[in-house]
Amino acid sequence: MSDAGLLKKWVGAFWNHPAHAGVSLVIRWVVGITFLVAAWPKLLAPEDFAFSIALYRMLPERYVHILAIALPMVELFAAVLFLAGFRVRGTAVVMCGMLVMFIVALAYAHVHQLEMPSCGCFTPAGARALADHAEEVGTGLLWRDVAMLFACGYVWLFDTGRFGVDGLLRRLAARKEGK
Amino acid sequence: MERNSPTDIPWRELGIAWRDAFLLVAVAVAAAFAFNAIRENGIPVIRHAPFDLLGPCPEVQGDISRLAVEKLRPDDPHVRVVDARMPWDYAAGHVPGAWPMPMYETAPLDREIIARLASMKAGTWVVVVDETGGQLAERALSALAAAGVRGLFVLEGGMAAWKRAGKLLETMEIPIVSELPDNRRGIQVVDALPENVLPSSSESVQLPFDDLLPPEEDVLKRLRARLQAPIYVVSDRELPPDPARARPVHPGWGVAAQLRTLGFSRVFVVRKPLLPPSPEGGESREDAHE
Repeated sequence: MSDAGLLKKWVGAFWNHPAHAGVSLVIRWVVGITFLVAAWPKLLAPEDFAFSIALYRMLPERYVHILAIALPMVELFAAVLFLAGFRVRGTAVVMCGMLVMFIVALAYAHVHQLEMPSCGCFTPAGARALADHAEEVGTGLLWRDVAMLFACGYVWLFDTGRFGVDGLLRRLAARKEGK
Repeated sequence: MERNSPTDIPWRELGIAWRDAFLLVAVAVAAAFAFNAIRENGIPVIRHAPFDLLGPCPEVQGDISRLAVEKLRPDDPHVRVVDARMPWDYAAGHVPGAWPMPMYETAPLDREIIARLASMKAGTWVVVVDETGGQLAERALSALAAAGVRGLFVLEGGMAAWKRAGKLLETMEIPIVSELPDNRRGIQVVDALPENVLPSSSESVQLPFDDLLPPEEDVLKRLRARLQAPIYVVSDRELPPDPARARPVHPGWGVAAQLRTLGFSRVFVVRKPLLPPSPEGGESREDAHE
């Protein structure tokens, strides 16, 4: 066998190694629970979440509510599907997309330090929004999101959904075909 | 379904994942808007009113914002409490974590405190406290506003209301010793007596007690030059049993409280008074120092 053929065989063997299923399961549960915990308060209080998005000043204010309405539900759906192991690769793509968005927003906020005009002061709602997200202006959450981005990328590339609903459906279909 | 052989990279499945992602987002967004439409606290899709994040600062307009005692959480990192009372009142009991910022009758505000307040994050609430939430706190608030500090509030009812509500009080410890140590090496003696009564020596400085003025900067510089040395504050009067509550304020106690609030941590008050100078050449205060 040529070198190229050997390399292809080796890459393919690595890509389909059964160990990926176990590692991906752990990643899916960690990321899934993180997203579930993050989505819940946003679903319960969309107005407060809208204030938090407005604080970043990245979107025109008229369209902030669209994101405030849609994003928590996408997070919730993605979290549940990740935990269940259904359509894991597609869910991982969605997770990666959301994480890229969070990373860009956090990096923007960190660079700009959410500066406010020196003569302004916060209304109670504004102060509450800033208090809720003051810690996010630091780099801790940024690196956490970067780590989760790599983890979700791993799931997209290597997870076959063996430990989850995808794997279950596959085994049921195979059994049916076998009969 | 995943049907790749053990040696294939699953390109088809990796591509199908994008289709699944698109479907997931579409279904989730549709569900989100449907849920928003039927829920009680749903929000309008397009917002027409601007976000009320910033408001005009009331202190700039001349209004005084007041904060009720039950709303004050001193442990909130976005709240800073400053105490405008005199140092001896501050030492007797203050809101936990409050910064001392005594509003002397005839002196401007401490510039260091103003710099620290001005450098805090935008949106931090600065709550000014006095005994009753009255003129002293309002004067302090106006002075801070004029110095450029924003987000200012007066605690409604002041420390009296804080104590009535049974809230936690923090005190500042000022240890009392019965007399000066025999070995005076390595200590600093602060004389709280009026000026020109005692000559200065290398070991003692004069810091006459004055409840209208902060301690003199030159004297503080001398004390800060030997910051590690413990400070013993002496006076010509016996310290009362409860100096924190005694009024008028004992001079030694007053000076000690002033020094403690200015950051000197090793300050002691001497209970026994110094002997008065003898006009007939007998034992003098100089001798009493020996």
